Amino acid sequence: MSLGLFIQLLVNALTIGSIYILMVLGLDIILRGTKILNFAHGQLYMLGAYVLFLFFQTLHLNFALSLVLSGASLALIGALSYLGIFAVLSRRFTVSTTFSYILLLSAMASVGLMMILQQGTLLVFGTQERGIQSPLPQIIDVFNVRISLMRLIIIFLSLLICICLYLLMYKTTFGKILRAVSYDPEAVTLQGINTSWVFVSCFALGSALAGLAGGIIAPLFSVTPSMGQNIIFMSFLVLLVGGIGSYRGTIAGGLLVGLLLSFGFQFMGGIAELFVFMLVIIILVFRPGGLLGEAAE
Amino acid sequence: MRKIALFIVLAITMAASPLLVACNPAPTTPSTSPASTEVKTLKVGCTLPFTNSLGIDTKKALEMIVPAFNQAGGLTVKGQKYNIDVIIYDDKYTADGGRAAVERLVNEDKVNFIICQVGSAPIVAGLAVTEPANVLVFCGGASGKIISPQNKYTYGTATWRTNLAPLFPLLKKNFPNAQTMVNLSPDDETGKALAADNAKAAASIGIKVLESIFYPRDTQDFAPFATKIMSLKPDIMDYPGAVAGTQFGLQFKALYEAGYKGVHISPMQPNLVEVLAVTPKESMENLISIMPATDITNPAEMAKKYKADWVAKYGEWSSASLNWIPAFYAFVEAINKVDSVDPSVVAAYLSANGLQWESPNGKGILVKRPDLNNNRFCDTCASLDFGLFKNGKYEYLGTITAEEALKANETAFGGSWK
Repeated sequence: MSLGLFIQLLVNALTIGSIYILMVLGLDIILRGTKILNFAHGQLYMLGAYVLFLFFQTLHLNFALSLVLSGASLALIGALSYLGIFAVLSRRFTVSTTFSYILLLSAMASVGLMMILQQGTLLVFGTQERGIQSPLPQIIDVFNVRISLMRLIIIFLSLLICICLYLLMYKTTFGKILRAVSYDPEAVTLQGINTSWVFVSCFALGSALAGLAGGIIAPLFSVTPSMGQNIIFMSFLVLLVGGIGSYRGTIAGGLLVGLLLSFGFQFMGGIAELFVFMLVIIILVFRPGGLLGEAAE
Repeated sequence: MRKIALFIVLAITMAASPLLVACNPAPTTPSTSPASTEVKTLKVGCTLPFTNSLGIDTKKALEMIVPAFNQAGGLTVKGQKYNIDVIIYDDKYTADGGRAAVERLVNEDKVNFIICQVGSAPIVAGLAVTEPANVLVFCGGASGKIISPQNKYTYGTATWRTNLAPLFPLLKKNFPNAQTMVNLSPDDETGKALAADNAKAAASIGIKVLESIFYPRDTQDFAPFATKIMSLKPDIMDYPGAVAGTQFGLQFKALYEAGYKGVHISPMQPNLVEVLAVTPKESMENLISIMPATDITNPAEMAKKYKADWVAKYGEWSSASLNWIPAFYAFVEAINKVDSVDPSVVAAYLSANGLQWESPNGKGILVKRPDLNNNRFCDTCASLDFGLFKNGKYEYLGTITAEEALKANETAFGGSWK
């Protein structure tokens, strides 16, 4: 394999891997913080792309500003969804309600949210695919290796968001509260902290990450109401590979799946996806907590 | 956390089920003319994907031409006047969706005719319902299964199986040095059928197919495919079965970014509005494709009127329906010619005698397919207009008549098609 081909495959892997990472970080924050397995996460990603389309393509705002607005809008939608559905549902749970039951009901509620968002988008935007012209269409050509500038920007932006998220989660009081809630919400309540708003924040932050992922990728792909369906499936696989509750695991899982898909496709064609599923089975058997998940740690 | 992991595995299985997002929209009907006491209504079925421009535009086209046809007098069969009532369901571009939609049309709506379907997967799945029920089908779709010898009531009225043979000589004439080709196709019924046909047609004029690469229909990231294609170094890129809208644009974009500078060929009419929304013009350089009959230098009157009516009704012009709408004109011509609304009588006549019709997309003629062991008239050769994307402009390259297309196919695939 030539160096040029290797670099191109690596860039492809990092692009898709970084989107998986953003998606799974959001999914993980919601899961750990609120105990909701959010099936609507793919639709939040799709909405992020539509919001970017609206601001960038229709209203002709600056791309960076559109992206920020996309994240912010999804944070708002996420918070409202939590307050309107999951907060109401959680009031029905008592001390004797089992964890499995809470998880199941929350997941079913998120399926409902998924359908509402999906059909709502269809009603508002119609079924037609939307295209967004890349704000950075330039191609960088170095030593016969052609790399799209937009792909590099996607990788850079994802990295930047990951760093910001790390600082937020591990270097601020707010992050400390979010992490504490994921371990023991009752203990946090005893410290005088209003956990309801922490749950809302978790859902809003996770939704914002999904929105940012959708917004970032929108100029590279097309925007369709069904674009969230595939990514949620792969995101769950990445979550299982990396490990639930592990920041490093999520990053490792996203990169590993991205690399497997990119290099696997080059040398083995469409069968590469099978390797991702096999990887998940192997990990579930030998490391049920994922590569760097809580059980492993 | 182990519980959560197990739960996710179960949940993924559920999420993968299309049932979760399945919806069952009410049928849409473009017929607006109320039937009077003298005028009967002839129910005609149609299934389309409501999620891409091919389906959306074909639906819009039916909603435009059927009421106008009814207003102009509709059908007259043995002195009895009929208004056409087209019932359209979403087939989701899938086999399951197609089968369910066709079952509903045949069993609930009791239609005897189905027209203008788009995708091979829903069409082929629906044949298991329509053939035993003696329902006459005039459809698009590329799969050879549509015109299989065991089908007696099904006619392919789009030109996907017959427009490749005329395209390759045109390619050779304009790009004589192009020798090798890669097919990039969806991994479904349509893609695989067309990739096989393309390879056969290409081989007949000495073009070597290096590889056929298949992608899932909903793929958006074509960078891995483009990287692989670049390592094969083809002179020609072919896109059999691609939906020539946004996804087509994403394919061009990925190849352009990877540095591809060869020729592109497509037997589809690219929806330039959608394609250029996602990719720069430069990426489409050297594309030879079917050009809409409405957009050539001197379009026929029927094509001009179709475009004018579309613009008057919908504003912005879109040509995506042109490949599928001939089925309606073929259906009308068949009923008029046979003077019967009995599908068995119409099928018996068509299979033995063939048919010719005019549509906004030009002239179409039913042909036999001896190369597929089918000696009844079942497939279509039509006039084809070609365009070339050169220096950022999509220019008219020339027209091949239906008879010339027939001859080119006989040469490429063998046998007498008349």
